Amino acid sequence: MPKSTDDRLTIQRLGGLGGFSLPGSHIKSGGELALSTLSPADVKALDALFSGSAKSAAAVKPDGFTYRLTRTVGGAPKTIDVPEGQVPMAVRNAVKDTLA
Amino acid sequence: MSCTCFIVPADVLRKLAQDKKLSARIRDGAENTAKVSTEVRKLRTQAAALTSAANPMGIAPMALAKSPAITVYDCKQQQNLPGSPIAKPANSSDATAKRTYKETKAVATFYKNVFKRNSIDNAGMTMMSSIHYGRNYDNAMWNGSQMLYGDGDNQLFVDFTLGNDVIGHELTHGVTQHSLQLGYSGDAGGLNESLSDCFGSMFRQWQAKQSVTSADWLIGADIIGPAAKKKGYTCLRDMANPAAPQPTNYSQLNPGTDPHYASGPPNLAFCAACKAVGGRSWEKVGQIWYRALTGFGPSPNMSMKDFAKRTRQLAAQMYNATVAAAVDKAWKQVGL
Repeated sequence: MPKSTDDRLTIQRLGGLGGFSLPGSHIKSGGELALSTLSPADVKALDALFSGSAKSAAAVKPDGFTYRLTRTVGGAPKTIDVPEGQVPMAVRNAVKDTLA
Repeated sequence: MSCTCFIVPADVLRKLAQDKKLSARIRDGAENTAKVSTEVRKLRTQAAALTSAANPMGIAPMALAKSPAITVYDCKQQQNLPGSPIAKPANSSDATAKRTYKETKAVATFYKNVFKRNSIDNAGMTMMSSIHYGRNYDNAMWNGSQMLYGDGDNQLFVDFTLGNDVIGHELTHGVTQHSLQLGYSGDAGGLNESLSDCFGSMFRQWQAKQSVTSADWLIGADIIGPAAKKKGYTCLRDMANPAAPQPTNYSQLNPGTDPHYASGPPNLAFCAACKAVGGRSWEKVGQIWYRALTGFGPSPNMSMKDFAKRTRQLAAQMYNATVAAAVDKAWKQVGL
């Protein structure tokens, strides 16, 4: 489990063919993890995504997932939306799909 | 047009392929992926150029090309595309591979026989699918060059290739990319999703030889897993009754609405028009929607209102006042 607020990454997975986590959707998809459990490479990749310096990738593809990532830096939460292809595998693997 | 980039650039793949610190398996995988990625890029560039050249002239290049090749790759529960090629998917002992080949071929036949279209780009483009994508992966998608299918988690979803409408849906995203070239947000995104649902459902009805009254108009009914069924869920979307989870009227859509949510009103309009006209969905209303999709060149930001207007005009031009009135009434029903 995450150790502190600043260490927490909250993940929400949206869209896909099934329209996960959308208004009215019965399927909720998400999870959370402690940033301290990620590899240095994954943390670096996340830092780049949150800073906006990550190499621009293609837009979300038809039926592709979007990941809504939230982390708290200095007490202020920051949220970004990222196409699945840019999300580190360890973060993708922290997601679970559940029925509402 | 959906612009798709591969996640790992070719030069990185080639460096990985030559990195002696990596295992032979990883190096081989990187080399194979680099080779395939390069060829897919060439194919995509050629296809886009052909579409762009042919569209303004109203030329259908299908007569110049032979029937599409159908290829299937096995991702083996990884998320690296395209995976390992399956030599003879039609005769594979893997039921998913065999089914993917068979249903993809059937979609090609559907488009050829019903709409006189030769494959995704109307020029015989290879129809490429990757199966067993990811571990317990609850999704299927079109990535700009190919289809990919997850096995599902066997709780909420089962193997996504079990849905012939799902396969028709994904391939239609490719058709849209090579014709109307709709974007994937706002009205255009909702239309993009709706067109995939319409043609996915039509394909399912065509295979089952169903009339508009005997069809169930459900999307994804065959991929719902046991845990979801136990809770009473029967499908991803119901085109005849989109309410919960989808809106039923255009006025309920807001900017930024996800395409899978925004597709509710145009899905309902298509279904209502088909039911009003009667017969089989692909015979008249399907032909109108196909012409609206493919007959006018790219329009990436097309609004639902403009698409509705185009189908109204086509209904009158292609058929008669009765069909035109049915299409008009269906759009009005959803606020368009």
